[in-house]
Amino acid sequence: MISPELVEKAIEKIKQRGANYQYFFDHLKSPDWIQPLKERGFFSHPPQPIEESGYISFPLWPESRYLARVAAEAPNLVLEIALDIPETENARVHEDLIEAALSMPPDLAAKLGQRVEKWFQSPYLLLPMKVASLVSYLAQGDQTEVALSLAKELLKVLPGYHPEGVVDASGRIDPRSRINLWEYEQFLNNNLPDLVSKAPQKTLALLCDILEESLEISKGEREPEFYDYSHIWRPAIEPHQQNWGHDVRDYLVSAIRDTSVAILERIPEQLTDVVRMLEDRRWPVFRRVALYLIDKFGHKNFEAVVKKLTDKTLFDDVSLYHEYSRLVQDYFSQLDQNDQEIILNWIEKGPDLSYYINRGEKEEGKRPAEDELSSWKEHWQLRRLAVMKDSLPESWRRKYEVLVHKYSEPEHPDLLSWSTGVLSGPTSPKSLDQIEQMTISELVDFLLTWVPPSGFTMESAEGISRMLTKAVTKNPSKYLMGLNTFKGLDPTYIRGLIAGFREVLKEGGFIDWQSILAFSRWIVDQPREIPGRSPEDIGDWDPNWGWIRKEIAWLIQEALEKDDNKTIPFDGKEDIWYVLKVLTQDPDPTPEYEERYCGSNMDPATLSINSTRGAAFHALIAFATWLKKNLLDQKESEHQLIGLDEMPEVRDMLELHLDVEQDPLLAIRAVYGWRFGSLLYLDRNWIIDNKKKIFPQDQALELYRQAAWNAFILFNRPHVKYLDVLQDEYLIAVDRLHPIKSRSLPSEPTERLAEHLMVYYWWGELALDSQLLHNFWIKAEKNLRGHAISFIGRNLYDTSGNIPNEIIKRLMALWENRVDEAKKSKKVESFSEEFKSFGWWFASGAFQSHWSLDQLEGVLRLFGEVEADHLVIERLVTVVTEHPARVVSVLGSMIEGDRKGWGIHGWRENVKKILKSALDSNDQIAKQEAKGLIDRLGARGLFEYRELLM
Amino acid sequence: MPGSDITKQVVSLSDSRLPLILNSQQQTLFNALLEKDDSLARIYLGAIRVLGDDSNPDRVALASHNIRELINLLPRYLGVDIKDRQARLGDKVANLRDQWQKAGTRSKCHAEDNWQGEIDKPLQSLLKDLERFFVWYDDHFRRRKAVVRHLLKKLDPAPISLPEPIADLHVQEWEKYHNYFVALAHHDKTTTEDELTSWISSLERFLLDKLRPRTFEEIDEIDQIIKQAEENDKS
Repeated sequence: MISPELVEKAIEKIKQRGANYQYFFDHLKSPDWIQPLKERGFFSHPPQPIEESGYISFPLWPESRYLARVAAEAPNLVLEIALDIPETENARVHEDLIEAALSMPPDLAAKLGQRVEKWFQSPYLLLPMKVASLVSYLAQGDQTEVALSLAKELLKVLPGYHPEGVVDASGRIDPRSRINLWEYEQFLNNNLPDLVSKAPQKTLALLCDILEESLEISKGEREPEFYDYSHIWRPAIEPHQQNWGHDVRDYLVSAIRDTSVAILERIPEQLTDVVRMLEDRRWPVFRRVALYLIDKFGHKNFEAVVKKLTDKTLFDDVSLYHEYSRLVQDYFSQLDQNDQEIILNWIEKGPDLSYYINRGEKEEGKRPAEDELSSWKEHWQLRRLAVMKDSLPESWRRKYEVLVHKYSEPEHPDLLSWSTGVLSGPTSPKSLDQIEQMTISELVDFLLTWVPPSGFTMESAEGISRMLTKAVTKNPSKYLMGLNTFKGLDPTYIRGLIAGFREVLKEGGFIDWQSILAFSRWIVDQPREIPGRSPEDIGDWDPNWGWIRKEIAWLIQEALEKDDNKTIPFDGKEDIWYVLKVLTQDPDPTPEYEERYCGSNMDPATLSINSTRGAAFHALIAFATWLKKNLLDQKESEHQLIGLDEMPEVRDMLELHLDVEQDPLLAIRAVYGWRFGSLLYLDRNWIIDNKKKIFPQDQALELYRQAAWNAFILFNRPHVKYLDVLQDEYLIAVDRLHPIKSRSLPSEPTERLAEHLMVYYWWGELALDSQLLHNFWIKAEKNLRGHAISFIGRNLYDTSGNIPNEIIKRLMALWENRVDEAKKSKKVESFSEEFKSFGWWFASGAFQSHWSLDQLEGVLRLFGEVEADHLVIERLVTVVTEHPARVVSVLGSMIEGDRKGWGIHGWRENVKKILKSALDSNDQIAKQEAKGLIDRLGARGLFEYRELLM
Repeated sequence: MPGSDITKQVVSLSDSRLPLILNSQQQTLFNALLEKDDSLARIYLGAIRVLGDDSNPDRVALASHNIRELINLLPRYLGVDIKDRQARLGDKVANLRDQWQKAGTRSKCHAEDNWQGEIDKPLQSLLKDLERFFVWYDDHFRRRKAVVRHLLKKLDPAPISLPEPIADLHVQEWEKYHNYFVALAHHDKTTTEDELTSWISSLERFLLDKLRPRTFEEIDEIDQIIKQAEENDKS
């Protein structure tokens, strides 16, 4: 008996805070508290689930946890209290009460179990495995009625989910289990056997009822009554590789099978009763299970076997085909001659051909020919005989062998169909080994004569093309030497070869460029279109010579960009130019295509590398750069003296395509921006003369400007030379800044612009009061400003080694400038993203700790949180000995700001280090602050910090 | 940083002509309120200063007024949703009285201080006004208990809420402080200086219990209670 005074004292303490309440109930050991606490209102207010921002949470209830702990010691009292608890949908409370039931004697647990049944009506059934344990426990304790009721709830099936209520054409809707399917299976495998051992017949009946419910759900509206298609979704009743096992019906069929087997293994004499019970169910799947059982236990009841085997309705029933076939297979030899002849006569007579005749008339408009019908019949007989081939009488055996000779031995004759799994991707009829072993002329002969097989096959020209790519990669010289032999082949194959050479190039292999360039000239000379093929009809063959042209453009670009060792002969420039001239005029992409697909699906820069003309333009600029390098070597000239005037054909081509009348493609304009660095290297004067064409200012040409600018800013790192030439373009870009709406590109151009500007500032190329930065801070919306500050912080954090003092001072000046701006602003909230980014700055450790702690305190005071919080905490650990009181104060602010309480769990070890360091310091304020913070952590229910005070 | 000079502003108050000495409990509460919001700290400090000004004959009511404001404003500064209570109850009732008088003179249902007959338009209008008034009243006044409960929950960072009957004990305690200081501020009640000091001190402890918890001291005590009770129980 707990004294009333102590109960009152306890309540006084509990009242003070939730943490005390939790701690108190979590540490009670004696059940004697139950009664006095109940009298004071406890055990009567279970917390309800909390729905917030689309999520639901289930608060712990210390009182039910306590009841679960002491249930073994005071089961009757706990049961009485538990039954008196008002109903709740809190799954955690349910879990505790089931735990309590599992600690009670089974007869008491059964009383609580009756209450558990009601919880299945709750939308939040989170604990089916707990209930499953209770089913086992009750069954083992002979409380089978309640256990069965709970099992019924666990096994309940419901109509499956269909988007907007759409069901398939036949009106079928798949059933689903109420609980998770994996848990469903676990329950059937692990817990149901306990119930089977105590109440086998009732358990079997329950399983059959539930399977019937699920069949009722899945039956189409227009289907015949009691037709379950089980031979499709469950090809075999026995465990079989053809059973996919993804459906609740599958699990139920297995459970019914295993339960029946368990019953019959104990009492085989019950075979007739079990079979009758199953056959009463009317759905074919139950008759299939019955046949399976007769097959399995037929050696003890041969009469039942004979009865089934000589039943013509079973012989004819397609739904029962597999189980009947297995029965024949296992017992045909044991039948007497008369019974064998009954079956053989049915086979002799053949199938009912009216189905084939009707189908032929419907599909072909005429009755199938007699030889066709005869072939159907023989195939059918062959399959029927195959299952009993080892037991056939001699005359039938000969007949079977004749059929085998005629049609070959059937595979899996006991199944109506056999799934071989899923093939993926185009395949080659020749393996890599086979292709490697062919001479070039053998290979060409094969490619000229190969015809794709008809029917369902993945063998295709594309598959061969991919195999050719691999073959070239392994032995490029073989294919280079025989390159001319491939002329005349379909472009699908030649593309595979060119792709192979590109792979060789990527891996640093050697390529004979003379052969490749000559071959490329031949390719671009081919008429682009192929009669009879259309670009819309993209099948296994290339629709035209456009795809291989793109492949050549990629090959040339990569080769020229990697040609540091000058492996491409300079006199090959004529061939390259010849090829590029054709490719830069290729119609892919058309303006119509660009208009249709560019935008939300694909930006112009991406289209440029995925179209023939775009790829050719990338190659063209690579070509010009390669030319300049070679000319510089030859003439030993100054870099500035060689420009586009030394390659007028390239210059003219570049200028031609800057005229929107000549080339309206945004994708091509994007190439100028993307390759801006190369163009600047090629000819600075040309850039200065043409930059207004590349980045037009006319609003009517805004899309061209965006195409070029976005590609420039995304694919070029900041460079002082860019700032020098493009300062005015940067200003325009800042003035035209727009809010980030959605990310259609991997990186948002406005964010990259912010990064460029921050880098220029970091380098000292832009002053704090420069027009560009001034305008940026005014024009940029808060997330973009936050990104800029965060970008600097992340770079500070990632920079190893000392950062020069002048840079540190510059960055501090920037930060303080932003703080001043915030002070002047009436909307401090609009600076939140910038200020929270200070976490990165602080975590970098690049600044003096006094200064950075000042700033961090300010940010936390305003916004309560910072970015990179875990790194900030790590950094705090390193400065706590220097500034113990301030660090504890900052830590306190961060913990206060961590409203959801998620951060603190990630910081815990470092938090302990900081607090311990402060407690061990000689700073009395720090000690006091640390102690106060530990108490605040305790008030959050984080009792582990108590150890720091001991 | 914006806001980083707040402490200086408040500290400057204590530098004015009247010396103000805070005891340790008051100093701790002042700091705790300052962490929440400088306005709260200023209101509290104002109450203490006025109370210490012997030359002010109405200092009890004025100090109580500030304490009441502190109690009323705490929910707002802690982010607890409060409906706009600017429309005062008195104004609303006065308005309702006008409607009632108007209906009394215009409705045929009202004769000789009695209401009878089928509802006519003036009476219907009065009934609608009454309905609107009670909806408003429910929304603005009966919510007070819910606001206080929310406030106290907000001051308790534990992931587990106290059970309702226990939480209500706390709400009652808070309301007791509220009613006491409202009565003093409105001169509806007289008090002695000792009694007032005792109430303020008690409120300070209540607030500090939330803002500066001493959790592990309480946990130690809980351990002791459980140990003592369960050992007694065994014997």
